Amino acid sequence: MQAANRGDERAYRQLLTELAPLLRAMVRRSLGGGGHADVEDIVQECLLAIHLKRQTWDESLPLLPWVGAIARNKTIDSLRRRGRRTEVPIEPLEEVLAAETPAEGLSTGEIDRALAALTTRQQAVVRAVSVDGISIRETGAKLAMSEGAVRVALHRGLAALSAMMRKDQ
Amino acid sequence: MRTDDLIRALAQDGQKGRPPGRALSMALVASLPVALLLFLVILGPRPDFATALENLRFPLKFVLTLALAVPALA
Repeated sequence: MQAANRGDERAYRQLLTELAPLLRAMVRRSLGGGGHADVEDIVQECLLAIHLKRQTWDESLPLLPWVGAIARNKTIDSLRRRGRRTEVPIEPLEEVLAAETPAEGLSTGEIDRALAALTTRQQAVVRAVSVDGISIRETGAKLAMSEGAVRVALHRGLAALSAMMRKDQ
Repeated sequence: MRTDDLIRALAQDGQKGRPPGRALSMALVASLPVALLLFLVILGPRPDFATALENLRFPLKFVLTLALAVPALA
């Protein structure tokens, strides 16, 4: 994380990739037993929050408790937002639930829904860089924007996504 | 959206926010003179400021306020 904060993009990407399964485990443990379709959504929200707030991490303190606090807060937010569905008795629904639990890495598309509410330009940039996997320079060429404009649109788009998730409460 | 896609977008976003320590320092530097100015203009220091300083109770008020402010900022 320290390397990432000094601009090492590869280290940052590796960090986020390694954090994802860790976050999944943390969230699952917080949510308790049973299958949960929301786990991946919460994990994505956590990663987005970690990304947007990474400069608030005090580098002299250990990283994992900081990540754990974010995970806990996002899980609570999610429970509040979805009306604590997880407290409903699930025995009669067990067969249905097992089929609904999505594969790892897939979510119920909470972020996709928020993405659709972004401005056209931000949406296009975020989609191009994430889903299509195009580099920033190529995105600029494809959308007829300068590289700087793409970077700004990407950052603002991500911040808007985060704001939208929090607005639902 | 797949989580890997999201990570790909996050990794490419190099724009960082301001660290909270710096943000607070900058806010203080901007606001302290304004507060001081407002005080001088609207309230004004007490006319017997010089004589009040001799009585121990008056300077102690400043000591107390500073004693609260300094650890709060640290």
